[in-house]
Amino acid sequence: MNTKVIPKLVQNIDEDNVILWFEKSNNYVITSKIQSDLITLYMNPDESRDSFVHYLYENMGMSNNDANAICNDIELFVGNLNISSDDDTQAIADTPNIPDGNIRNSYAFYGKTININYESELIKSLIHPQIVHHNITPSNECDVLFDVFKSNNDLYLAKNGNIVGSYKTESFHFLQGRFALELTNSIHSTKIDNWIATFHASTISNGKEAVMIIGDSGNGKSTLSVLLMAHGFDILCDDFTPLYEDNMELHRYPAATSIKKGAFDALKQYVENIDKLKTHTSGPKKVNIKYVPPILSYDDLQSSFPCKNIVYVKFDANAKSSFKPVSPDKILQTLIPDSWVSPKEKHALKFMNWLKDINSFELRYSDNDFAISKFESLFKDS
Amino acid sequence: MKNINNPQDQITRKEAIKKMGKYAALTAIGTFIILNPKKAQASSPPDPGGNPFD
Repeated sequence: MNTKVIPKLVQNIDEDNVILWFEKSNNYVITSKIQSDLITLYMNPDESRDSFVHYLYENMGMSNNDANAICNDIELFVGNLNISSDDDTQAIADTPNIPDGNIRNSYAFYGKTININYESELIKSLIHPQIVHHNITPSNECDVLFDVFKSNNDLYLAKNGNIVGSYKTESFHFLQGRFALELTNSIHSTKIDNWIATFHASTISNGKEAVMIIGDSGNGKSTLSVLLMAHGFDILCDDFTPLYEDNMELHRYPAATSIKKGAFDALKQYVENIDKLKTHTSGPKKVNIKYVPPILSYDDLQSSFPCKNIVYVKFDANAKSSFKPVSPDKILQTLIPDSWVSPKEKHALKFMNWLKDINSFELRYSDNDFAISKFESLFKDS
Repeated sequence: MKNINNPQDQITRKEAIKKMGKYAALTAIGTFIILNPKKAQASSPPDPGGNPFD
C-alpha cells in the first residue's frame, strides 16, 4: 500500500474518538477509534489489499462482498484526503511597483510606530476603522511600514517595501487576515513562521487566562465579547485569534470589535456612547457596522494568555438559555474549517496536543445576564 | 490521553480485527468527519451585499 497516504498524526480527543491529520491535504479527520484502527491497518505498507480482504473474510466471517465494500470505502476516503486543495491566495505573477501612497496614517502600538500608506479611501476602509483608536499624528519615522494598494484589479499588501500577498478584490478578507497576522507579529516581535493558527474566534480574558468564543457568522460572538467587556473582561481578540508556537498562547490582536447593526440597540444599555461611534457602511447593500474600541489600554495589558476553554455560542432570542459541556468534535467542526492552521507537521502536532487539553462548551442564550454569569463561573472554576 | 505516535506501530492488523469483531467493522465505515482548514489567514468574510468593491 502507498505509505504516502497514511495519516501522519493520530490523537485521542475523547474516550471514543480520535483526530487524524493528513499531511498532503492538511486535512483533519474525526472518527471512531475502531474506524481509525481499520484505516491504519488497511494502509499498512507491508500488506496488500487482498490480504486485508482475506483477513476480514477469514477472521470475522464477512462475505467477500462486505470485505471488499469496506476496502472500497476506505480507498475512496483516503483518496479524497490526499488531494492538495487550491490556495485561497494567489501567486504573485508580475510584481507591481509599490505606488506612492496617497494617504498615510501612523499608529502607535505598545511603543511601536506602524505607518500604513493607503492608495485610496476605499482601501483605507478595509483596515483603518478597526485600528483607528491607535491612530497618532502622522510620522515619517516608523518601526514597520505597510503599503496597501490595488493594481490591475488585484489588491496587494507590502511590508517594509516587500509584497507579502496579493488578493482578488472579492477576497479582501484574506488581505485583512494577512495584515492582521503581520501587524500582530510586528507588535509582539515574534517570528512570522512560528504562528500555528489564526482562529475565526473572539477571545476574552480575565487577566490570567483566555476563553475562546466560536460560532458561525451571525451567532453573536462579537456582541457577546462586548457585553463581557462591559462586565470587566478584557477582549484579547475579535474575529481573529492567533496561536503562537513558542508559548502555545493566544496573542492579543488589538483591533476594535466590529458590531453589526442588529446589535446596536442591544448593546446600548451596556456600552456608553455607542450612539456616538461612527457607523461605517460598505457594499451595495450598505451594510452598517460600528467598531467598539477596547475599554482598557493595550499598553497596560499582557500580550498573551493560555487557553483551556472554548465556548460555541449561539444567540437565539426565542431559545431557553443553556450552557453545557459538549464533545470536542462539536467544537472542532466549527473551529477547524473556519480557521487557518499551519500545514507544517510540527505545527499540526502542537495544535493536536493543544486540543487534547481543551474543554468544550456550548452556550445558547436569549438572556444576556445568563451568558455573562456562565462566563464568570467558567473563569472562576478554572 | 496518549501521546501521538506512529499509527503503524500501535497494533497489528490481526490483533485489531479480532478486537473489533464483525459488528464493529461493518458499522464503522461512514462515521468520519473531514475538516479542511482555510489555506490562508482571513478575517470574517463580508455579509452578502457588503463587499465594498462591488
